[in-house]
Amino acid sequence: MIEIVVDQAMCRGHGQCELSAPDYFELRDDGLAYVIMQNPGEGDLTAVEDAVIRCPEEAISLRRQ
Amino acid sequence: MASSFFTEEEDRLLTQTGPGTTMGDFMRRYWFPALLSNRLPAANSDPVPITLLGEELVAFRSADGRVGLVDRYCPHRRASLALARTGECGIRCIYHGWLIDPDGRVLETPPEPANSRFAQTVQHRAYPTREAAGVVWTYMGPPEARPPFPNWLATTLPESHVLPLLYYQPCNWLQSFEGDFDAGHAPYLHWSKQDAEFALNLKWQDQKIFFDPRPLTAFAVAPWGVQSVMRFVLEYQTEAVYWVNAYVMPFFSMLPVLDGYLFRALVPSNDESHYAFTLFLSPARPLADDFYLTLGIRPEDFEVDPTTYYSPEWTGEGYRQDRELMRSGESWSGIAGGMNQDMAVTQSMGGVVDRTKENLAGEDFLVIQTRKYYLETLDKFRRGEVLPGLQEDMDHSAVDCRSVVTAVDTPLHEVLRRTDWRYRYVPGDSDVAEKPPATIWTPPLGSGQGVP
Repeated sequence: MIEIVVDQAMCRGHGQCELSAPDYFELRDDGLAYVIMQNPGEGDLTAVEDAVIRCPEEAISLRRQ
Repeated sequence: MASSFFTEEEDRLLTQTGPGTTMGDFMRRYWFPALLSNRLPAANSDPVPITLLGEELVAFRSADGRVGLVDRYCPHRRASLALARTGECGIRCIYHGWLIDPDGRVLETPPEPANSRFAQTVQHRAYPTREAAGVVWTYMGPPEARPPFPNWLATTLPESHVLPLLYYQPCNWLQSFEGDFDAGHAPYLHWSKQDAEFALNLKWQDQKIFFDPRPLTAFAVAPWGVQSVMRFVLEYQTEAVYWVNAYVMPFFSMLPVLDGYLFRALVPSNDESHYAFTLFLSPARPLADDFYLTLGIRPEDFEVDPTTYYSPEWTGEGYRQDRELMRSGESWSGIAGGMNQDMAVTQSMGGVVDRTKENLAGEDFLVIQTRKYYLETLDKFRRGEVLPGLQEDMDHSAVDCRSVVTAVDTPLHEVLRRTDWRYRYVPGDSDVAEKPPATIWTPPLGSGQGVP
């Protein structure tokens, strides 16, 4: 199972993750990205991987549980 | 807080291109443009001093028509060959008359006795050259690693189908190159009221690039470098134009233009300057006057000083900027001409931009990925692996570059995958649109300005 991890210390609120995979990421009023659902379904993996690669801060990673 | 990317060491790795640097040695493994043929129209043309990849050279045309590109300093006592005599089968130093041919062989050493064989022991540094469609190309790498001369469209089309231009820019090559894969600057930097009004009545799809404030982008690695897909769409439309651009190692870019291409090579002169070879390629037909008209550009946009290759808009310290045009809403940048606008901003960053002070954002996706690709490629170079674009079966004429017009929700990677999708520009496509839009996006102008 894949787990989404956001390093909020690196997050600068670009919002690219929310644009790529809105079911999994949310940019909140504090300017930080939060994971909505931690484990992407197989059909959503492309969108989540897009979120990972598009983060200008490399603040998102995927971990195999 | 600056971006977490790109340390000082990585910045140096990407930008330093002189002899002995990793990037410089990498670039030398490829054939690239050195100068325009029209600088050497005849065998007695003045020699042309030129610095490429940090190396001071001189170009000349020998009596047999070949172009020589050799070390600028005579192998005898190192006087400059920029002062040399031409019109013979080589270049003759004015100090003691040594004659050097395009291959770097010393043919004559006049002050020496007739029986001297000394000249045969001297090999002056010389780089091979090939001419194609108005451009002199060279290879500056190890002779044993020399690849075949590339079969770019730019090197195989007849001269009537190629418009070769050259600009000298007093800034590092990479900040200029990054402008070619920056998708989002066109609606700001290149916006003008005249172009906006022109586009309101235009059917030609490519104009969309100037009016989509947030184009979507995708990135892919190719055997020869990287590709980008950029999607441009106007708010009210259901179809978008997609540009599939190619960035071929080490510093070539190809962008689709009309039914041809804009082909660029950003050749470093030294770490704080480069030559921007900019070639318009028209495979289907000879370039004609309608070319400028259809693109909405002016021939004067391409004027440069014939020896320095500076744009006449370059004042020596910056580009001419008319702030009245900015205030009136006529031009967002206040700078005339698309090429000048690009050059103004990249040169304004300084000789070598300090990337450790950047704050990269979402729009910089392609810039970030391409820098990472370069760093990975330099690692491959250090390990002695086959380099992108230097594979034995490399076909430069087949590099994928095209524009596509299709539904706005088409996945970008699908556009990339479908190499059969290609927008067929037809001369006359600039006719009035069937349904001109009511409004068109404008960048922030302030009150009382812009297209009503």
